[in-house]
Amino acid sequence: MPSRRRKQTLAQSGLRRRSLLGIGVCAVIAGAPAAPVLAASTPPAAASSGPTYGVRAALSGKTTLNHNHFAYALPAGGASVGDAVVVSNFTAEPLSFAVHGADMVAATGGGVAPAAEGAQPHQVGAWMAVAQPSITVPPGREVSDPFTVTVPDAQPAGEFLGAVVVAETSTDAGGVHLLTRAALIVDVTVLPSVRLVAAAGPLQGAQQHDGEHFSVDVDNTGNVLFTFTGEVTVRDGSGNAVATLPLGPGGLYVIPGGRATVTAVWSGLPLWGRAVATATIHARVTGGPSATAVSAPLELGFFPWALVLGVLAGLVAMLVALFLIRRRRQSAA
Amino acid sequence: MREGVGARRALALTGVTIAAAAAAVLPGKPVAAASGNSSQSVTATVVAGTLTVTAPPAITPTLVPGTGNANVALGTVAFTNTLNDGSAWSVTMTSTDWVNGANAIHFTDMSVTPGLTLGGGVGSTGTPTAGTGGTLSGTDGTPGTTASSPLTLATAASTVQGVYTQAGSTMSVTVPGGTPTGVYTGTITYTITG
Repeated sequence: MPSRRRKQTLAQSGLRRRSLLGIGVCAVIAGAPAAPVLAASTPPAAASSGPTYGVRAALSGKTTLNHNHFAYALPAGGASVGDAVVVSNFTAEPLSFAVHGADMVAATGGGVAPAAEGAQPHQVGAWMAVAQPSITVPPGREVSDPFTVTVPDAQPAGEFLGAVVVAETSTDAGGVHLLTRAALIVDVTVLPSVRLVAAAGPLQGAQQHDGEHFSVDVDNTGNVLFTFTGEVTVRDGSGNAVATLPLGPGGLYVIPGGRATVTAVWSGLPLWGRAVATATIHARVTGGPSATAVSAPLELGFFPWALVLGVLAGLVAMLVALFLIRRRRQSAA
Repeated sequence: MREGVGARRALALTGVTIAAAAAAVLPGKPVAAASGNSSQSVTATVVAGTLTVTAPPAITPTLVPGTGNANVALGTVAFTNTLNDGSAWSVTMTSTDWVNGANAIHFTDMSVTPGLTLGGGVGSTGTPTAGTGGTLSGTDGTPGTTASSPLTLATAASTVQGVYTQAGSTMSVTVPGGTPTGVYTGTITYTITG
């Protein structure tokens, strides 16, 4: 049986894999039609007790995602956005995957699915470029695979659906290709006109043991997705810049109506004095306009409270001790 | 003698005062409670969800030419959607032709009945709905390579989240009379989209 030959081939080649990755078909046409109906000769077992792999959007929890999906509002004419899909391996063995973009198609019975493997994409699938079309995820680990979506020049406005597809792959001499796929929807809205509006703030700060921790919200109040970079500039009382701190994490985008929070840490704080911090956000649409937003200033004051309070407490304690000693002496006298 | 005792008490009080002041103004690590009433702080992190599907093992049906070959069991499919993404999702399947050299059993001769036994694991919310099934369709460009159009096994609303299994799915495979005997191979692909 080809399926057995396949197992032997995989075992011999060291490509140990879980057998429950897809469902290979090995049908035998019987020569004598004695029985009118023959069901599966070997009843298939249930799927494994747990999933072997999974996928999710890389920026989950880091920026606003429309339905936690890849949703992009972009102008036509070469605008692009970068993103990534995370593939997790829940097994104790390495797993290999093909990662690619695909057009979305309707499925019989009401569902949706990406076009079949190997189908030529014509729309969103064709707009996508995956950095690593083939990946191998180590046991118990996850791999982030970046991709870009670029809207063609002459693309009319509208909403278009596609998917980033993660297909577990295998190759074998028997010709049986076992396959499962997990697909995250990619929703691209091509805009007729672009209104890029970014807002930054308020800038917030909190002193911790390793320095001043800044955080600032970046809001998209326009109609187009933007990517951004930013920094916090700290100036002393004379207006001189004493620190310029890049905001992170990098590579974030903000969808229209969405928000992302970025942070920076200023270590090596002065012992005392005053300073003013502002956050500057540089938003841009790749292949399109750019904009700058500046937060309201945040005033910072530094004073060595711990040191001063400690010294004061020590002084008070010494005074109390001296007072008590003197009173004892007076009592003794 | 009493004077010495008083001085020691005063110095001890000084030490306690300084220690208390230091504890008040200097950060430190938490220590175990000395009294009989202890507590345990908890900082739990819920990680991001995932989307996946796991297929049953390969099937090896024996098919008879000139018949419909109904009730070919496909096994139990497991799928997980814990993305909590506020979007409906679906599980679909496709098949290529099953081929043996130049001979083929076309996917248009296959129909699928999704299993109606849908169960959720611990913590799952809601239950997906089984698809209605039907005959596989599509343009068969390259027999043995081209997959059919997808057929829905199950759909779920956005509020349905968790780990699920679907049992009882079957196929019927009509093999035309005169089809040569032999071993036919192909691929069934399961896809979860969400």
